[in-house]
Amino acid sequence: MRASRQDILQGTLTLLILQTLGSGENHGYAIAQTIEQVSNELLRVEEGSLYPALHRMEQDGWIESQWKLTETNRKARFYSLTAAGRTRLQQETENWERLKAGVGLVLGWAQ
Amino acid sequence: MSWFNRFANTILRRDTVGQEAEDEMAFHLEERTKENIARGMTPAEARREAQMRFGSRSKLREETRDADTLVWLNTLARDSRIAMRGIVQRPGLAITAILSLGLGIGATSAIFCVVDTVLLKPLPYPDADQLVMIQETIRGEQIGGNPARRRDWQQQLTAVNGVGGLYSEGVVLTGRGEPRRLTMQRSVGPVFPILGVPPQLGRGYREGEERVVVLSHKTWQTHLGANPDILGTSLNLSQTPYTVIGVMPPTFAASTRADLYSAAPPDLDSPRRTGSWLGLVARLQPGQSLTALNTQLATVGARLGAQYPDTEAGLTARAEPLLDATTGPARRPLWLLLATIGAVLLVVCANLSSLLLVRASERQREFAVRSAMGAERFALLRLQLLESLWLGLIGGGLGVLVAYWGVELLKYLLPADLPRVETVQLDGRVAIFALGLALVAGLLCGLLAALGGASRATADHLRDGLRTTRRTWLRPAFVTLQVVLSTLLLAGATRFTESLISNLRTPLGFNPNGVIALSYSFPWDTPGRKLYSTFQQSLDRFAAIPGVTSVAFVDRLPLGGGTQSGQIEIPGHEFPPALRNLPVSHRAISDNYFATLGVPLQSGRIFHPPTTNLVEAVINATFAKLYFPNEDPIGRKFTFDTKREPGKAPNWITIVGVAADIRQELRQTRQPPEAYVPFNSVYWPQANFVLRTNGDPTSIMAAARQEFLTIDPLLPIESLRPLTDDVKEASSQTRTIASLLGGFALTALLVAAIGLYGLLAGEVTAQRREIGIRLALGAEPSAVLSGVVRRGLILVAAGLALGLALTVPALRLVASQITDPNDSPLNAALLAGLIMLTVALVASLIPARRASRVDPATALRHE
Repeated sequence: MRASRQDILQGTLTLLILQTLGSGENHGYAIAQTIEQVSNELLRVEEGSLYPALHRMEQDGWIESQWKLTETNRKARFYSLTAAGRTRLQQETENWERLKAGVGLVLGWAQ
Repeated sequence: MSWFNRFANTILRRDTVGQEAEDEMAFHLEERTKENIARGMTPAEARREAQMRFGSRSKLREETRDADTLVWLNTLARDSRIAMRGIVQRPGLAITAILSLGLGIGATSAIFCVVDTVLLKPLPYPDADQLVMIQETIRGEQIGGNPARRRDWQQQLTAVNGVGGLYSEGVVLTGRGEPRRLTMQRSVGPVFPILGVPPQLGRGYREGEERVVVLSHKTWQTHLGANPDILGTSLNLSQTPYTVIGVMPPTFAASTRADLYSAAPPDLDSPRRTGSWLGLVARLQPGQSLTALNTQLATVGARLGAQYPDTEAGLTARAEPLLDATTGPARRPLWLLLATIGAVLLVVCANLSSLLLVRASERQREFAVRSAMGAERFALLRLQLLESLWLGLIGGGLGVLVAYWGVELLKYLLPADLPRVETVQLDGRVAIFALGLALVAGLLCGLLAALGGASRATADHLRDGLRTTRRTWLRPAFVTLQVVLSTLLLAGATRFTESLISNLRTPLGFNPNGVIALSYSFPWDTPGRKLYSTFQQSLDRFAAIPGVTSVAFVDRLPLGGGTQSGQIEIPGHEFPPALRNLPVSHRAISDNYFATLGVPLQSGRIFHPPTTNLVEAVINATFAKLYFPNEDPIGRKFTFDTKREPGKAPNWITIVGVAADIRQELRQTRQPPEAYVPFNSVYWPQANFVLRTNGDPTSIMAAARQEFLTIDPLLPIESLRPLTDDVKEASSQTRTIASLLGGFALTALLVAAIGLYGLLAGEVTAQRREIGIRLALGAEPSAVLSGVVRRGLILVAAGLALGLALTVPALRLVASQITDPNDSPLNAALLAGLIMLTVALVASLIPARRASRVDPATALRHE
């Protein structure tokens, strides 16, 4: 295991999932892969948190799921954003930007 | 929506949800494995890496399920399943608990239903709690109301809004099919405004309005076809036409039991102050209390007594709520039943706690394991509570069923003249009450058991195995409580049975077997001549029916109670006051009466042929014994004419014969002296005929009915039945109470025995090892046996002592109402004690024998 890989910060997993699904529906494995690839393998998604998070988000009504066939003709559960999920994505993004700015300021001040 | 979704997932889709999560994870693993292979790993390596990354699948499965479902509901469902499994594992315990709880709760609810309907529900009148009944007494003796006095009360009492007087009389409805006997309630004063219930149809009558009648709803429905055009039509009631002006609503009859309502004839509302036959009702003025009214009654009563010393000296009066007055005689037996069944319920609950306590102590090891595995104490408590909750729920469900059938059974068992008993039914409130009661009982018992037993699940239990010989005080206390209550119930049941048996054993003085009784009555204004000729005609016609061997007339049948009576005077005799004031009953009979009922004539003869003058009488043995202790009464004279004007010669009656005593009431504590006079020498329009038969009673009853139609087609027969029915009916209340109490007592006894057995059996199991060691060291098996029995008997003896100590005052409390208060309750208490001890002995012997047969080798290897 490479040390440079980061476990995902608690709470940001939701944002990452919403962001990933923003570009179209996908199944859990692909979501994990996308996050890792897009982040240049900097971020690593724990399966142990991914699926509970997906199910919780579905219950909260931000995403919905459907069983479909993959390109390789395998049955998989595909998740997609709902309208509520899109709003949520926007909010979470704003929250993240604010957090990032805040953390940046604090770090800058400390130096 | 999310909540609902999760709820649906929990309840309806739990398997689907689990399976989908499983599939999803399988897919993920496969994809990862494929990718790993693509990166150059061997398939085995690829799979292992994928699995390692994935972590614990079962943990993941749980976490996704928690996301999809309601966690608490899941826990509840899981714990319920475990609890259910626990219940099913011990079917004996479960069945005992559920059955006893169901029976206890069901019976309590059923009796509560009756008490509620009969005693507690307000009467169906507006502001019914303001209605009172006024009871007058003169020199301590209760009397009825008099119309002139009613007027005085109404004028002088300011605490009430008018005073109404009521009485009922029998009338015969003719001209509408078969003649029918109906009860007409007559009123003096503003009865309808006082009760405050407007008729459903038409109007009520005005005070003193003549020849108009208001129908009860039932009369309108059953006898007049519920025809709404009935208003304004005429009804022929005892040969007098009445105009129907109204119909009362169905609820109204609940406490009056009359078929028709009408004003008393105006001539009856006279200033005459003799004659007292009214029931007085009144409504409190707003803001006035019962106490204020009673104070006024005392003042006004004293004033009236001074004003009319001839008729009203010593007059007092008391008011009580109308509800209490109408339910008066039923009150104590019903509360008694409720208290009894409450005691049974307590025994049941104590037993349930005790059973659950055994269960808890048996599971101490299991709970120790569970808590060692990390179960929280609360989770363990929850598990135990769920188990007792489920037992309570099932028991409660059974209880509702039992209550439903119990109400029907009680309606059948309880005397039909109990007010409002026919309207008793299990309503939703009581059903919910029953279920709630069961749940609370279950929870409380479970909580007691859990706190008393299982919470001490510690590592010690794991280390030492099941060697808990510590005795808790809780279970023995429960057993003792059960014994106390069962003893009380047993003593009560024994007491009533004893009284019933003694009532039934005492000779009736007549032979009711093979005798048919037929009753009818004329209106009170029928001329005597008409009565006597009809009676004589009936005697002749009935005697001619084939299979009838003998016929007689009597004004009032034996066992029916209540004869007319008066004080007597015997020339040349001075009696002490007790004898002088003793009322002597008199009955009017035809000469065949004693022969027909099989009553032996002890001396003399019967008046024959009967004359129309009151000159001859037959007396009973008690009369002869009391008034002529040392002489032959035959030929002696006496008179009822004690209140004659001075100087006027009384109407002397000559005693011609002495007949054996006949019981006039079943629960008769003292045989009254009686004189029998010829039926046509006194005026009495109510006739009873007794027909001794030697043929088929059914066909003879039909023939008698047929014969009577030819004598007077307009007169209804009031009743026609075997005389043995009267005997049964007379004993019915005591019989009912005795059998109900007996049933309760048996239930309680059984439950208590199970409780005792359970306690001892549990202790023997817990001490198996100890007993084994003692036996191995040479203890006699008989010593072990007697040790266990002794322990059982000590518990029982404590309960028995307390129970018996309570029995005497408790029986005093109830016995005065229903049985002869002079009897000592000691027999009942002793018998109850004996039964209790025997049952306790058996219940302790079974576990004791098991203990004495413990094989030391197995017992020591056991753990």
